Amino acid sequence: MLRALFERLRVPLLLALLVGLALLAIASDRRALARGARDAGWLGGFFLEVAAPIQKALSAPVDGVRNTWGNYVALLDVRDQNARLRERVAQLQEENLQFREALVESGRLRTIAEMRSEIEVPMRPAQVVGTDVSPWFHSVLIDRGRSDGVRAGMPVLTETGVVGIATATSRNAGRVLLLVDAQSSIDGIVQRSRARGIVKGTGGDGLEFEFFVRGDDVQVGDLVITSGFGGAYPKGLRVGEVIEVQADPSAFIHRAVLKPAVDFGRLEQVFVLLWRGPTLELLYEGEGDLPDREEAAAPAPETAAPAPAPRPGS
Amino acid sequence: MRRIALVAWGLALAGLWIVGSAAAWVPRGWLPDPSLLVAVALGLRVPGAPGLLTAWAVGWTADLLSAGPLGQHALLDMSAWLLTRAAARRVDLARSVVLVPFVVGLSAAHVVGEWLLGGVPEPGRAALAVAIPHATANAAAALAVRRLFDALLGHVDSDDPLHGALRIDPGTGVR
Repeated sequence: MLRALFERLRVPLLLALLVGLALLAIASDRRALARGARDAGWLGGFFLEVAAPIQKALSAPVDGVRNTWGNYVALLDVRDQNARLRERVAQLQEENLQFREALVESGRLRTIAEMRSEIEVPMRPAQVVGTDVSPWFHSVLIDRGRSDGVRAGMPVLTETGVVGIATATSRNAGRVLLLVDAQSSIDGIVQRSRARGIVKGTGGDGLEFEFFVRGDDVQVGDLVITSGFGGAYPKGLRVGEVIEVQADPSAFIHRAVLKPAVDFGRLEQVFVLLWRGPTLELLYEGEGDLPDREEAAAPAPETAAPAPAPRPGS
Repeated sequence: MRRIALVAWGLALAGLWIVGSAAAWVPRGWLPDPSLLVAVALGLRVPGAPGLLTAWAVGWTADLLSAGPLGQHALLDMSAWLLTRAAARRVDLARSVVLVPFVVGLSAAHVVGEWLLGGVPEPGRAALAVAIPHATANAAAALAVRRLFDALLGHVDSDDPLHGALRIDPGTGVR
């Protein structure tokens, strides 16, 4: 009779157990994310490790066709572009000289130099080999992992700005949570006015900058950079440009819409900063030691690329 | 039964890998959710604890390949399996004209579930711009996934008690 009862209750019992397990996992994952840290665990690491080469192989034919076509089209335009770029370089060199002169005069060159050295940390270039399987979340799979010194909690960039943060790594692969994901938020400042706020992912293609009303000056066209507060990203990395300010006089917090500095729809190569902020260092403490700057930079010249620095005048 | 579970899980995993690769060049939302579709296929063919457990495992696998909270897909895919079982008692889901609208409805329920669990940012135009093509892609792929699953089951051990034996009759239901 007991056996018959168990047979009858087997499915409901299993259902209750699985629902409970899923809810527990969701709650625990949310708590971990709110703290700023997430651990993929050995199972997550295993799936990353297996998925990266397979997804890379699956993407290869389409990427090949796209690259060939892109190179062909690019070649057609290269002469004109070259002339335009030469002109632009000359113009920028001139501007640069003027800025340097102004900075030396104002005594801020040393400050800028210190900031540059602060963010010139070793980097690992990585290839994006896959994206999130859900249309509601924004993450990418990269082909670099712990064997390359990449750890969860490290910032990921392109030459144009911040991409996101590594949230899970296996031996040879990693998952990067993109800045536009609704779960992402970082501390940012407006480069021009130094107004500080929080940059949040909208879950779509854009970013939102929340800032306090009192004394804050945010205008369309302003560049928002990382503030260095919060401990996840070094100071001075480009985040996005203000394209709309939603100023409600009655609200305590104002919002601005940002156009991300990075084109998230065309991510191919990214750079992982081999640096972890003090907060994340504490949270991911158990994950092993980080490589030394020199050690990380030693194996290949590819690791010493400078971070996208803010424009002078910040 | 174990082989059927493995076939379902393998099919979902292959689908997730393909979607994870294709998402780089396909506009957001225009790719189906393989784990949801396999959960539906499981709901049509695999009853009881094995079906439930496999649907959960398929969802958990999707969670491991996504940046979403761990357990979210597992919960939703398990719900999809349950809804499919419940619907199969009332209508003939084996028919395409019934299955396609059912999957559209299930995709909408999936979005609501994701929103309740915090996965979908905010209900609005931006969310609809993803949800509508996603439901369309799911509906378009549902038949193919079901047929592929059935074909794969055809290669699984014929000694399996479920092999080719399960018929879903509207009104009577299968436990």
